[in-house]
Amino acid sequence: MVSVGAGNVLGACATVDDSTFDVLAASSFTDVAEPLEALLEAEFGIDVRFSFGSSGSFREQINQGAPADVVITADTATMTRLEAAGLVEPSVALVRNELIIVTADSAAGRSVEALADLVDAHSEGDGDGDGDSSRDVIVVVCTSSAPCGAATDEMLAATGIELSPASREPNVRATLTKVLLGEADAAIVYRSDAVAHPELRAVEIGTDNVSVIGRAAVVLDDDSDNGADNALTAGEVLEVLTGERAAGLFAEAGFAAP
Amino acid sequence: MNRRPPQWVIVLALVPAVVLGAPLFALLWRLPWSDLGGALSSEAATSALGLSLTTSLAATVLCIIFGLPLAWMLSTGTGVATRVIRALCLLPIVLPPVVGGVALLLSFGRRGVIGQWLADVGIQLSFSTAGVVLAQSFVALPFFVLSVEAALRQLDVEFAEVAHVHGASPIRVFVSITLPSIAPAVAAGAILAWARALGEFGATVTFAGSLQGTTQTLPLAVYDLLERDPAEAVVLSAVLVVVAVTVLVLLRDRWFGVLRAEAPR
Repeated sequence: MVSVGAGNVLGACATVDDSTFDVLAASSFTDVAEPLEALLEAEFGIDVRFSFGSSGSFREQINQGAPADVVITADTATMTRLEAAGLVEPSVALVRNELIIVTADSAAGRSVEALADLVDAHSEGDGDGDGDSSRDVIVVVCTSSAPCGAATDEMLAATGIELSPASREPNVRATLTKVLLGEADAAIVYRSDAVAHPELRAVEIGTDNVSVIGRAAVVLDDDSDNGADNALTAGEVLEVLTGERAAGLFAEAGFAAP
Repeated sequence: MNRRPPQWVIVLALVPAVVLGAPLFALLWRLPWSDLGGALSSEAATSALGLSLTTSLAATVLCIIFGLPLAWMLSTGTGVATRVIRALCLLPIVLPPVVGGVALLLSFGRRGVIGQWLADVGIQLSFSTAGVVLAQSFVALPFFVLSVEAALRQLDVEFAEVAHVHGASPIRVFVSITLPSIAPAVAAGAILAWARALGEFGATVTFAGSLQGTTQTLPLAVYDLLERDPAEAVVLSAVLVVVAVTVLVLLRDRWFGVLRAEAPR
């Protein structure tokens, strides 16, 4: 299903005029994308289109020709891999985000006051669904190949706390959704996610928290897919993204300055 | 009827053959043969393979246990209720699996219509292996019911009626006369359902989540590994292909042979 969708996008892109400017962004930028898009469209008078995914999948996506003029990753490690693969120009730091716990409005969720309260959570699902662990806090985190998951692993290693998550979701939005739907009692996500969802209670992680630097870079085009025009404006778009007005939008969305 | 189709028809027919065959060929071509063993014996691979086989077989058994009565009921009914229930049964075929997963969350999730009652008695399906089986059964059941119901409707009712007149109970007639004669359709339906369950991704990841050893089946493992270790993702994909092809070949003579023998009637 995913590949079919990508194929359609590619097919459309090959025929669409070059005025569409594509930004491929980590899923943690979903909420800030709309105001950013408006800012860029007002500034350049071009049609800007954001698409989202896990930063971990960007190298493959760009390699396979996904339409992208600028790419925004959630952390430095994934951007470094893009740079090493020669897919992007040198990147710039965009924002700083950090981990935070969000809890659902459930009895177990309300009981969470600190990271340590997540331990003993969902005592190793025995899989028969008989719910003998129903009194535990059900925690979901990101999969380790996604930046939020890598950061979570790093943070947990630093604190020496061992979690037994009920699920490791493919990206931060999927992780957040499980708490929004009330399926999980708590999730480890980004501060920006907590800001975007004030209905969820946020619990600080504390001294050993890990922050990630979101980075942006101009995608090097070796095919004519996106046209020369965009290659020229991509650098300017990057300047606006790192400029003062974008910084204001990022701050509103819960991101800190890098 | 047996005349060969004209050449241009054959050319058109070869297009889908290539489109369907090329990805399989490419997958095998890109297999990292040298460290195949290592990739296959990794913990992610073995646990995903074991989990996938167990859950898909469990889902198939559920489909048979509940699908047979359903197909029987649908094949005899003609009223509006029958048509509504049949439409409901077929819905998962046309529904995107991820939508099925969302629907499962809203019904069997912790805060779902049914799920909240289950939660009260301490049963949680989401994030559990049972949830994986439920998601797989949800998408696989229509294939079984469809296959069996079609066979039941085409069945020659004479034998059954004679037996019935001679005083055999409906269950006795179904088990000893009807079931044997639709066995090939039951088997074909079960295989289709099993294959669908084995490949299930969208409903599973949405409803049951993804955790190695508990809910991360082979397709979920492939998706996860694609971002971390593409080579291993290719190996696991090939495993899915090999398992599927092996079972189809093993069962071909046994079941589809019967189907073929029955076809001309």
